[in-house]
Amino acid sequence: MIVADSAFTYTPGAADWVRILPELILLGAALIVLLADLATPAGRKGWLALIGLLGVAGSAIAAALLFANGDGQSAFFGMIAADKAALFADFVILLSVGLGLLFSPGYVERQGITQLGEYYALMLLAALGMMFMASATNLMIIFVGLEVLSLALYILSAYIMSRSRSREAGMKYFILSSFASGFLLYGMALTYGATGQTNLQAVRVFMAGNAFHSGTGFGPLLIAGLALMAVGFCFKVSAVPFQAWTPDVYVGAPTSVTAFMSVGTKVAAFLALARVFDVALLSVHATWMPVLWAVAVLTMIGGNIMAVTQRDVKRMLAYSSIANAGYMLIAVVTGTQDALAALLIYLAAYAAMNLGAFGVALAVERSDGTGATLDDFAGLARHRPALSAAMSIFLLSLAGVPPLVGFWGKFYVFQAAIIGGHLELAIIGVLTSVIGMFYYLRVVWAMYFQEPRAVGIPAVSTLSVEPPAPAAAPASASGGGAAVLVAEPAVVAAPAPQEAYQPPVLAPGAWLGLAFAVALTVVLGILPSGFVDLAIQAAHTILR
Amino acid sequence: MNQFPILSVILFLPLLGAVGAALLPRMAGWGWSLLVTLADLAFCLALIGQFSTTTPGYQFTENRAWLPGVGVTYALGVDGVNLFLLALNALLTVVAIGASWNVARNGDRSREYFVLLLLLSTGMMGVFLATNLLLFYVFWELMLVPAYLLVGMFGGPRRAYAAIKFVLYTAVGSLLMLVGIIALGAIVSDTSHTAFTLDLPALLAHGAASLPRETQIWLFLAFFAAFAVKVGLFPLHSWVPDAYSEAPAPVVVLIAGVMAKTGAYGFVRFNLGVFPTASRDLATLMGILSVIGILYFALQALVAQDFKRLLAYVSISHMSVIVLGIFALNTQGVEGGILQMVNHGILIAALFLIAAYIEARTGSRRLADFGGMAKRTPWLAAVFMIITLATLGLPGLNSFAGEFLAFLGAFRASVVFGVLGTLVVIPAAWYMLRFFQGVMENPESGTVATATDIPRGRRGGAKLSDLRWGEFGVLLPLLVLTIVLGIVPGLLTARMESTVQHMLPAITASHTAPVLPNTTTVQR
Repeated sequence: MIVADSAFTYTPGAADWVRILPELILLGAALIVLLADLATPAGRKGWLALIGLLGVAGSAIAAALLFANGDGQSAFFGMIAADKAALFADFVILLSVGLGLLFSPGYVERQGITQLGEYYALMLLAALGMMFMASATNLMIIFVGLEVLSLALYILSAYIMSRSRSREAGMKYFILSSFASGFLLYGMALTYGATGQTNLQAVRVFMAGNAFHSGTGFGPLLIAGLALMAVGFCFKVSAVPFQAWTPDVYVGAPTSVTAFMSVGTKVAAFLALARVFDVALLSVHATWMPVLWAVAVLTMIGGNIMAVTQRDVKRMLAYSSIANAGYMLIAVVTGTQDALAALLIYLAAYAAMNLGAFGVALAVERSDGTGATLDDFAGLARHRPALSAAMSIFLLSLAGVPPLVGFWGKFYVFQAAIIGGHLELAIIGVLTSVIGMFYYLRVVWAMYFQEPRAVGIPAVSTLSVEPPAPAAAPASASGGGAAVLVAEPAVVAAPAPQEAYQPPVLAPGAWLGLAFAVALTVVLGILPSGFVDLAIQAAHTILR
Repeated sequence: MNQFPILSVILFLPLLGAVGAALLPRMAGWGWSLLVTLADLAFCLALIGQFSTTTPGYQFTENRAWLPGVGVTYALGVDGVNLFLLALNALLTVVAIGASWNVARNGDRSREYFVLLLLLSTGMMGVFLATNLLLFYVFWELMLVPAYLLVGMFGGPRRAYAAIKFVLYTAVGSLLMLVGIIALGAIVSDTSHTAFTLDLPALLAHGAASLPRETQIWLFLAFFAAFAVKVGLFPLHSWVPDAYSEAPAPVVVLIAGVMAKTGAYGFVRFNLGVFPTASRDLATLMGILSVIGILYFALQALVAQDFKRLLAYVSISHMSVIVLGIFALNTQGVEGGILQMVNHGILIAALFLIAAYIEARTGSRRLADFGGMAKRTPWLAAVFMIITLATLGLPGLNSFAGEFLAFLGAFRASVVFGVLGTLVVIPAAWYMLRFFQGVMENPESGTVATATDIPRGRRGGAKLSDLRWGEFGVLLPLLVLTIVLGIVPGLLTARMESTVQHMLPAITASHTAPVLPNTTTVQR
């Protein structure tokens, strides 16, 4: 069917453009933001976020219309899917970029970010890349989408140019991620060499038609291709043992960016992973399954155990995102239609709760990027009760406590695994979830069970008790993770003596974003049937 | 389906109370909570009045679609097993709210306190009512979070340790149960070629209770993990003394009084109801664990220095008696177990409240600090004595009938377990009298002699205040029930009988236990 002979031409029609309407709208919004930046005076850059949000809303509406009325065909000769799975993923990506944009105004100014026009445009472009990657049905488009999102995120990670942590995050992400992209591309090239196809559907047909024998010529080629692609994808979803970049990048990047990319990248990479392994390469499931099985187990165990020792909440959330990648990998390993539905459910649930948790971390963070350790969360419930309650809801949801949305993600993944014959993965998942419960609840513990430390309270009577306390805060912040990051003593020493740290005032957008995330976490938790139904419909289309 | 949804009302009234408690100011929030829980109790009593004693299956059922694809429904039902546990939960919630008057008056974060207390009550109500396994699990976890926060926010000095230990113990158990639940659904839908469902009656109709022995044993163990932790069965009990001794008294009333029963209830409802073959084959193991628990915890209670820890051990020792009765797998044992769940709830709540009153008056929990309080607080001593006698199983008070039935059942199942289990009456009498005499009788000790009514100092001076009217009011319903249920336990057993008798033949397929007219015997 899809034979590239020399006389082949393909003329895109209007229907093709309609099928990528959500992406086009987002692209338009990004360009408008760049133009509007020129006309917006400094100090009013918040409007740019609004333009971005309008673009996100428009894109979401387009995706909804396509979900309801679209024909589900691929655009541009099988390059980009407009099936329900792609559109569902678009929703989740748009949700995360929308929340990321809501969290940004106020926060980015506080962090000393200056080029706001480019910042907002890059957020939108990263989301664009994610949407392309999630909808790609061709190895080439997967890679193009990946590069679009990665390039935008490299810049965004390093966006606080005055802070070495942020520069380091950008650099580290850039080098390691390019390396992984190389692996992925090499793997794709070898797969193309073995199958003669880059279109996933064509690869699938080829694989089904040519029973796979490792003895024949293309066997080793394909195995090498599979392995290299697996490495590339595992890096992108931050699975163990390819996770080392995640904590440093997540902590160093601006938190609004971390919040967005921790979810968006996962959605894009997992959709691509599922399309490649669970669709195109399903007939060699037995070949790749043990590898991803081991990666899933390592990721669940490693991510959860490493998260236990973290005292910086952002770093803890970074390791928790590794652990969550492990649960999502269970679905990929299982590979049934139920499992793919479970993957989509998990991703949607993860978007709401993880963005929310990062949103709270962003709200308590100081202008020098520190201040999100467990000590800073101690007694938070006393002076920020609403924020603490929201954080508790997100963390409990991440821990998988019903009836919050995170529970349904876990439930569907474990159910699919058990029905799909991977009881052992469900049991490992459950046992590692208990570890997760420990470190998530430790934040709740800090917020509710501990008394506020003198440094955290704005000017209350106890301030005089502990004179050395202000100096202790930066020390504990940098002492948190693996001590790769050297706090600049000169910079740290300057703000420290200013007594009575005032918790930053949250911008209305951030409140709105947090309220939205809480609403999603709770309402979808109590009434999950609607979005579960959509995810199941979406999973139907991915396997066609 | 068009009938009045009384079970939903009972389930969600505490939640309504929580909403009010979150919005209203402190004292009004307390009043509102009390009012709502009293209404809840009234509905439970109405339910008991309407309950048909001859129907073995679920009554007042409600069933609504929740997540159709995976057989998750909002399904509630009441039968002879959970009827009185609902009422116990409602009653002890009222008692706990009533006893929390001080928190409302001068504690900080009283809003959070009442919201969490009522959420906990909702969760436990849901656990008893749910007839869909996943709904059950949702409520099971829902009660964990408020309990964690209540212990951690309002407990004693080691509260954070106790809270996290409690959560980790229970989380391991309940997550294993989640795997068991899903696996049960998957296996049943596989073997019966029906759609995946987690509705308990549907599962049983599809042959859930006749799975192969091997499968049953694994699933039994998955559920066992969750229930044994909650009960505090040996050797999964070590969170209990910490949590009970650190939590504030009204919270212990709910945790020890009701939450521990959710585990025992789970054993009856799921392990006995769904895995009959495994229950029969593992009954010996359960008996061994129970007997070890009964005796070992009793000995721990004998040597405990802190009387809240002592009571924690008393509680789990008696809970082990309940489990022993349940896994005797005969009518007497199971009925005794259920009856004893109610009695134990009433008594342990009263004991922890009395312990809190004593601690509030003297500021100490060390038995060595006490002696001779009865002279100064005669009313408190009198109430304490009645509860003490009931706890050690004096005939005519409530605990006697339940423990008698449970031990009778154990004897009929196995003489060894019966004898060993019954041995506990010796240490039981000893530790209770050690507690009572140590505090109330004996020569007056230094602490008591010099205690000057630490709590509010309203009357100041060198006089320990006796039981106040408010405190007495909280204890009164428990005291009344202790006596009433001691005289007419048939009030309860009559409503359990048909359910229990219907449930057991599946388990003891081989030997049918002749049904003794036990309720009437005990009544006299």
